Amino acid sequence: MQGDFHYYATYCAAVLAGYTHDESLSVCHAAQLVDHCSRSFLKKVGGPDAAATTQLQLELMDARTDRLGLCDITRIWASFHFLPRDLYAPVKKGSKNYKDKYRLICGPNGDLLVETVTLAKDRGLAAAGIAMHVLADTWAHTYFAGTPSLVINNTGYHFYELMPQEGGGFARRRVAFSHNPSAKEDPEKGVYVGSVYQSTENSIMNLGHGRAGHLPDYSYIRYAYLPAWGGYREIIKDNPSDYEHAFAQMVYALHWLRDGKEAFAADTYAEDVIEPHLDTIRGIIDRRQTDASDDWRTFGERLTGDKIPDFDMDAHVAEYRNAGSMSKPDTFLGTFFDAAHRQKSMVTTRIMASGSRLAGIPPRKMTKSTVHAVEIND
Amino acid sequence: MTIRQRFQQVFVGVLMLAFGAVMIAYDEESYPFIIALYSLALELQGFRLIWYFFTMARLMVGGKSILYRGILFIDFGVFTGSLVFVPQIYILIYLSGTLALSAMIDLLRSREARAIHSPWKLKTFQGAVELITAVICLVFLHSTAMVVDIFSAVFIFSGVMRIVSAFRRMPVITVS
Repeated sequence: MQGDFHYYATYCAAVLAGYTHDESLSVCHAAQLVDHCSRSFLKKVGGPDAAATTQLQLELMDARTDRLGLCDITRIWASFHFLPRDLYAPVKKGSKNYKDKYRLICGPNGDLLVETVTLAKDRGLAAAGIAMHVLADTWAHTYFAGTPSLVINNTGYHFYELMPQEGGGFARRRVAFSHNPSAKEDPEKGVYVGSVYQSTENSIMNLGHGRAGHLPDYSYIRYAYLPAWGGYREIIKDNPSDYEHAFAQMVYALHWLRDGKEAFAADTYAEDVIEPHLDTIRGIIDRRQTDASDDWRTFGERLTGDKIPDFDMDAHVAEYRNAGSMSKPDTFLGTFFDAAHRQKSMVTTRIMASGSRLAGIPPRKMTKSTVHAVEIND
Repeated sequence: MTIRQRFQQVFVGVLMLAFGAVMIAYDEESYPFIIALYSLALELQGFRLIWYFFTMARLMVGGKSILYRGILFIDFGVFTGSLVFVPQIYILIYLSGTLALSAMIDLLRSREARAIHSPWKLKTFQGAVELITAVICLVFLHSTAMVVDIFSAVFIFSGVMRIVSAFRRMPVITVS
């Protein structure tokens, strides 16, 4: 997903969940900051290296793809952008390495999502924002894994956009992927940008949905393709439906983070809350555009009557820099870094506890107590 | 490309430069050496692909192409190795043929890259040089010493290209 959903739509979800304008801005700022909090950003602001939630293009270009480098990449991308749906998914065939990678495939409503939202409870607005980023991405990035893998993330020539027809039904149009990142996408002609085929299993080009370009990030699109892991079964990805679910689940999750007494429940949506606005929300999601920021912003400003400022990644930097070492953890960025660290630690620990070494190599056999220790100390 | 991969590219490039120089120095005596090196490289690549197929790619959509490529590499490797026992003229024809094939593949791939707005000029240049070299080799088939010198030049050229490509920046599509 992009800034239109992580920033503006998250703002709208927070408002509908009962947060004030200022609180909603903090939540959506944190949600969008997840896509900017790279090691370069952390170096600039003086934040802890371990709180990185993304990697920039230049960082990825020079990222190591040996075992330790892969662990670093997986910790970041699986924790914040491709939350695994089921770390214990049954896989009958394949080597252990294949099974481990298969189990990192992202999807909504997994156990880790419940843990992600629960982890953010009572930890402030920045933590809520991070959890909303992770939650929203489980819908957009379904079927891709947050680790470099040709055998999981590759896509082939069988890739079609499903174009809605006036009389109902869908027509298929072959998607032509350009491999020049600076090339302009043309949704009208079905030209999209995707990463180059690389036959090396752990190539950075095979990370996440790179091979499918930004298609998972566009709310209006429906597409049919053969995922590399799918055994030649065609999958239809219905982004309008998934984005609506993501929005409704964010409203429920944010409401739960604020007032929830019972345990957070997966597969639960605030349908009643968004029902009065459903036509507007569906109108924004269905509109054929690669950036829906203006529409979401208009909707958000109509909800509160307040102006939503543009996202500024440096908005809280001065506060963090000027704070003393004792008060840094209480600043907005301080709480963001702490929440990011906790989220990464939790996901890494769960992946390691499942027997996979893709996110980290346990120092000794994991027991319940060592899992707890890693959570605290990572 | 990671720093380690860049270092590997430069290292292999420097080795190719050194091999090219040695081949020029030893002329016709270096034929078995060229053949052995070529054969070994093809076979290793073939085994690597087959290992990858059985451990990972056999479950991947389109994964069988990796198995076929592995078998083809080994087949070519074994065939290339057997050429040590045939007259040099056939070796030269074979090497020129593989060079021409490699050139055609490079040119086709550069054409494909251009169509999808990917970097294509370096690949075209490489393919053109290989094609011209293959033609020159066929023209000078009667002079084996001359052909060895041409192949040495190709080796040195490939080494330089590898070093140059190690310092090129590759476009990356990021996911967010």
